[in-house]
Amino acid sequence: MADEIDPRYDPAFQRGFTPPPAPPRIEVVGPPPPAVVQQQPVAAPEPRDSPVEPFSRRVNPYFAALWAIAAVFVIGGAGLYLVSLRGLYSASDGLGNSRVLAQFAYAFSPPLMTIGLAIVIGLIFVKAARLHNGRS
Amino acid sequence: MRWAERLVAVIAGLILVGTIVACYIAATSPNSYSGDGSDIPLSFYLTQVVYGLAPQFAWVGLGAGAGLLFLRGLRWHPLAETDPEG
Repeated sequence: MADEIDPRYDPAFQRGFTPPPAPPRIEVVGPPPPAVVQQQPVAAPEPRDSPVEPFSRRVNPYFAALWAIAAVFVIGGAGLYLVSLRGLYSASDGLGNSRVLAQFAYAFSPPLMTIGLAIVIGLIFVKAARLHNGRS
Repeated sequence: MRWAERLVAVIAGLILVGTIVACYIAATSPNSYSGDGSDIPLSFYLTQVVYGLAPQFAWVGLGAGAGLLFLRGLRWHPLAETDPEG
C-alpha cells in the first residue's frame, strides 16, 4: 500500500517510482564537416585614450548649456541692474551712457534674473522626474 | 530641427534684437516734454512705448530661447549622433 503509485499526483515525486530508462542515442551519420578555414588572426582593437562612458553618464550638452546660461542670466541681470544704478546716481559718469545703461537694465534685468531662476528650477524638475523614472 | 522650432528661434531672435535696438534709440533720443500744450515729440512717444513694452518683449524672447533649449535637451539621446528630424 505504501509503495503504490497514487494516480492523482505526479509519480516522479512518489515513493517507489522508478524512472524509465533513457532512450538509446541515435548516431546520425551525415556528411563530413567542412574543412576548417585558417583565418588570419584578428588584431585586438587598440585601447582608446578616452574610454567610452557608460550610457547614463554622458552629459546632455543642451542641459549643460542651460546651466551655464542660467548662471549668466542671473549674475548678468543683477550686475546690469547694479551697474546702471551706480551710473544713474553718481555724477562722475556721463549722462548719455548712464541713460542707455539704465534703459537696458530696466528692460532686461528683471527678465534675465527671472528666466535664469526659472531655467534652474526647470532643470531641477527634469532631473527629479528622470530620477523618479529610473533614469539619471 | 523642425521648421516650427526654427520659426520660433527666428522670431525670438528678431524680438530680442528689436528690443535692444529700440532701447538704444529710446535712450539716446531726447525724450523730455514740458507739458505746456505744445505737440508731444515723437521721441517721447517712442520712449514711453519702449518703457512699457521692452521688458515684455525681453521676457518673450529670452523665454522662447530657453524653451527651445529645453526642448532640444529633452529630445537629446546619447546614442543619437545626428538629428533624424533634420
